[in-house]
Amino acid sequence: MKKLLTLSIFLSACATSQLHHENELAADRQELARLEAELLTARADGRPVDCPRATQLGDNICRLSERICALVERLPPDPANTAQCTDARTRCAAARERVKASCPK
Amino acid sequence: MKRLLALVLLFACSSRRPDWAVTVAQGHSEADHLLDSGNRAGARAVLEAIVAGAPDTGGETRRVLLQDTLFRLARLALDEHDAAAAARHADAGLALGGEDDLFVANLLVVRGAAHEARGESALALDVYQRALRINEALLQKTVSPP
Repeated sequence: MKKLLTLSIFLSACATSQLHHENELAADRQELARLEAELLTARADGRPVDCPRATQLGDNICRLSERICALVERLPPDPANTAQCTDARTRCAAARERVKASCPK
Repeated sequence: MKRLLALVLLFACSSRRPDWAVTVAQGHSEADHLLDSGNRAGARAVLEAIVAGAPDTGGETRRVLLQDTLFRLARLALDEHDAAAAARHADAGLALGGEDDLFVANLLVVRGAAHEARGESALALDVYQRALRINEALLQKTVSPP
């Protein structure tokens, strides 16, 4: 009888732990679905863009353009490489303009 | 006997394979803590375990979680001046394919850095240009949603 009682207590604890874990997962998935739906609605409504993301992407572009130019500087002089740097800097400036226009501070 | 029973039950309870996505989230969090405490080798082991434990299927979720983990492994390798390992991790992530999204762009950046570290400047330039174009396209989508 004692063994049976011990067994049932452990099985019950085990099931409760799994249930708790699965409930948490289900809640997280629901929250994710809600946020996705909210994002889609915001886009359909033409609401403001995601400025933190836009800023981050603009920063990425400019960081990459600087890396490209730093690399070009270390290479033997070549008009094609110089053009790559110039092009990258132009893209950085355009990205900054785009972010500024969409996300005025 | 009771102790044995308890151990068997506890093992059965804990051995049920948890959702891999949850394992990944926990692993990344653990890696963050380990890095904060200066334990780079520990963080690398945790991230490598995530990659090793990846399921064979899982679609886009599997792809992005693996690519993000491989990106972190590549960055760790670069921090340790191991360009070969960084290139290996980045290539493994890029081989998973996918859209031109931020996960792919991040992998291209670390791939470019690995080329740079090995003195392969022309290849690095090419890869950085690809990463820049992806970021540009993503920015365009972000500021001009459909």
